[in-house]
Amino acid sequence: MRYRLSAYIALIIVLFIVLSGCSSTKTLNIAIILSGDSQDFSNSILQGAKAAAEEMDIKLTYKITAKGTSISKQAMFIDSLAEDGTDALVIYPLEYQKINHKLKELNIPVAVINSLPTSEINGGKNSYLYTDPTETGELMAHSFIEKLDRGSQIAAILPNMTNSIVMKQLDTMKDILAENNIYVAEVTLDSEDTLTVHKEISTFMMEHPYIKAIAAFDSTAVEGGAEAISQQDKDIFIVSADASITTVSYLEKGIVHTAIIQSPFSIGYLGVQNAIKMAKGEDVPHITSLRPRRVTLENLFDPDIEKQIFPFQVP
Amino acid sequence: MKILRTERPVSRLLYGSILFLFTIAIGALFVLNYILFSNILNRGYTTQLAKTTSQLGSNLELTMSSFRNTFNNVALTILHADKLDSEDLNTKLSTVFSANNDITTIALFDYDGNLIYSYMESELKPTANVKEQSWFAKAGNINKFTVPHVQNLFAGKYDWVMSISRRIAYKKDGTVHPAVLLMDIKFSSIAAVCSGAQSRNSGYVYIVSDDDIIYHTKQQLVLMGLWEEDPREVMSQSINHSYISQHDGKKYMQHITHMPYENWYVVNVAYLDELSATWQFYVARLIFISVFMLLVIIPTSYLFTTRITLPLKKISKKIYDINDRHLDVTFDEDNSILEINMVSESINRLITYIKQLLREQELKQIELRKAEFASLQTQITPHFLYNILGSIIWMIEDGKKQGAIEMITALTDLFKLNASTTASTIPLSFELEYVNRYVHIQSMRYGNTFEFSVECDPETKTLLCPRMILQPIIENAIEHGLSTLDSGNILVKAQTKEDMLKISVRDNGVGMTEDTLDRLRQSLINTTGTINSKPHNKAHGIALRNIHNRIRLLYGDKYGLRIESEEDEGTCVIVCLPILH
Repeated sequence: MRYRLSAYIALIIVLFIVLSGCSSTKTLNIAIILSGDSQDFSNSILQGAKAAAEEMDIKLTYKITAKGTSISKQAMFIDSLAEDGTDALVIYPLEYQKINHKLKELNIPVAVINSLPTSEINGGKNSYLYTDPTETGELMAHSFIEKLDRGSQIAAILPNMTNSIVMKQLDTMKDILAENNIYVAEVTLDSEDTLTVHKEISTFMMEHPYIKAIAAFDSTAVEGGAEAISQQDKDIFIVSADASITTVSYLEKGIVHTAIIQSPFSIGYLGVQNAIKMAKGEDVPHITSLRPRRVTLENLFDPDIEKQIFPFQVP
Repeated sequence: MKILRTERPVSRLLYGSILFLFTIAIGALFVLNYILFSNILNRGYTTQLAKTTSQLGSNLELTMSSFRNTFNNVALTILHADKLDSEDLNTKLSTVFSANNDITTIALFDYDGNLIYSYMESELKPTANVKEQSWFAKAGNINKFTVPHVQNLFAGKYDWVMSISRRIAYKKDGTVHPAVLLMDIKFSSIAAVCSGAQSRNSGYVYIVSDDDIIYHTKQQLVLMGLWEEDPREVMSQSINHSYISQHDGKKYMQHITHMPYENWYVVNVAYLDELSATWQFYVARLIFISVFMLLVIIPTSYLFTTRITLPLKKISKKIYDINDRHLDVTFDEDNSILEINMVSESINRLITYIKQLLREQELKQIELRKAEFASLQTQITPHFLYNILGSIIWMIEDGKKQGAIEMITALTDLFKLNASTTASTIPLSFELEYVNRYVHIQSMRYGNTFEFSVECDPETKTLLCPRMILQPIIENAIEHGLSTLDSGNILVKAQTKEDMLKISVRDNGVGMTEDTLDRLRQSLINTTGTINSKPHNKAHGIALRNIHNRIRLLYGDKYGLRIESEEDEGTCVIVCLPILH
């Protein structure tokens, strides 16, 4: 009798503990790995990711590779995710192919941002999110066509580490410009440092005096190009594939003629949203392509445009 | 004890009743709590939302009013200044700036949009088109704030601001000129007021005016088109009223308050998920507590019931034993339950009384039996005397005077010996002497047709035996065994065997059939009737039965008579007695 009573009391205590713990729910752990090479762009993505994490009440772990870091750093970050108990990953890959096998080993849902799909990562549990590079290339090309005569030549300043999105933007732009007899000279930067980039572009401009315009594919290229133009006092304008605050200041000065809004904040937000949905087993579109917008001095402070360029200061 | 199907132990009834009552009570508490908490939660949620919204509206009104007052003071300061570049004006505006960090711009423009005065270090951008600015176009005499926008007038500044403007006058060279005064306040100052209204996890706040969203907790998401609100829906709703809305498949409770001066509609949105989660949490806890209480009550009430009913069970068992004629039972009067003690005490008293009654009854019975035996013993003598006297009469009539004299003499000796003692138990030698004289008389009566002999172990002669136990047996042997025969013998043997004094009276008479012997033995076993109840065989059975019962009454059931007989062989009656000195 005494034994049965003790067993009964033990059962009640166990039930108490079990039922008490029933109300707690697991918080999803989402990681985001970004490239530090496009700092403004990555920061905006991170802001969007943080907003999504706060909105959807999940734990967000973010890792940004330092400017100029090799792909091995991203691979190291991916290796550490398994120990962190990450439920899903959002990644802005530097070189997609080199980390593909790591992502396969990780075997968690992956939301790839700002990269075109080249091969499946882990059996289909992934999504791709980017701003349409074809349309971006088209908008850039048309900006040149509006301002330049046929037969003109422009320089395309490419970042030190390019990815599939940039290449697609460039290819589209080149194709359209070629149809309009505008020629493109490609310059791939050796460095990510603004001062070095400035020197590189200055040297290139001096060596190529017939260049009428520059197509800049990241904020470093915009800054370096704009400084070189100011210094040399040349009648050259820039069309930027990025519309950061830095770009805006050159836009107001008339050095940058056109900037393309790529909505990095939205990419970060939607990337995390997709990762959460995949971690929960929900369906997400395999590819989400955002539409870019063209910004010039004329429409810079239009309500719809300024919303997307100037970040709202949260108190 | 056999329990009928319709009968239930009191413990089970009590346990069942307690469990039933507690379950009903817990169930009632659950339902009551459920209803009460549901009402309190819903009402509390709605009231809290209304209160928070109203408070937010008041705070915003106060904040905007404060900005408007500052703006009016600046306007008055400029109006009263003798000239715009005076030290006094700069000092006063410096005070306004330092006192209010939320003001980013104070600037004065002429009607052509040219900057006349600015308390700013930055320069007006050459590209700035002041006349195209909405605040410039709408500048009148009423102080109204614009919707949030990025101020793009001054170089290197891209602050999100809300602008207030009006047409004022200023003095220059002693003449009054018209101008438009602009003051920008940081949009973040409005956000700071609103952010305190709702925690991010429990809801959000937004402000609409006409078709514009002035502020939203998820401002960045709204700006990026990642979150949508419909200002027209807000405008169509009643003011100061809570209502349920839906967004992305989720339900929300909204409360709207109106700021008339700014014509702002402040909407406070609370996630119903939060309410639902609170509700689910409470219901889960309520269920948990109820189940836990039940789990505690089940063993507790069992122990409680057992504690109450165990003494009852014990009493019941003991009472059942009493029914089995076990009266040596004492009920425990040291229980913790008063009523049980009272019952135990009463039963103990009752048992004592019953035992006393039974004892009295038993004593009465013994006395009655003794009286009956004494009566029977005295009945033997007249019967025997009647037979002897009959024989004497017959001898006298037949002229056998000498025989008659001898018989009367023998009878006199018998009576003398009988009268020599009044003790109920006598030495065996005395009983044998009595029997010897009796046989002598009977021998004379029957003309010496049988022989009588006694074989006694010497030590048995002094042993005590009840009086007059052998004479009726020998009388039976003569009357029923030998009377129809020409000759016969009777042997009386006495010996101690198996811790008993065994006296056998054996005759070689006609004996008994098995059936007669069984009936006779049966009449000895049947002791429930009174001594006078007649056995259904022959009259001689009465004497044997009387002796048998008398011995058992005196010495116990292990003593008495044992009868052996075989037809045409004879009968042996063994008297078993305790060894008494």
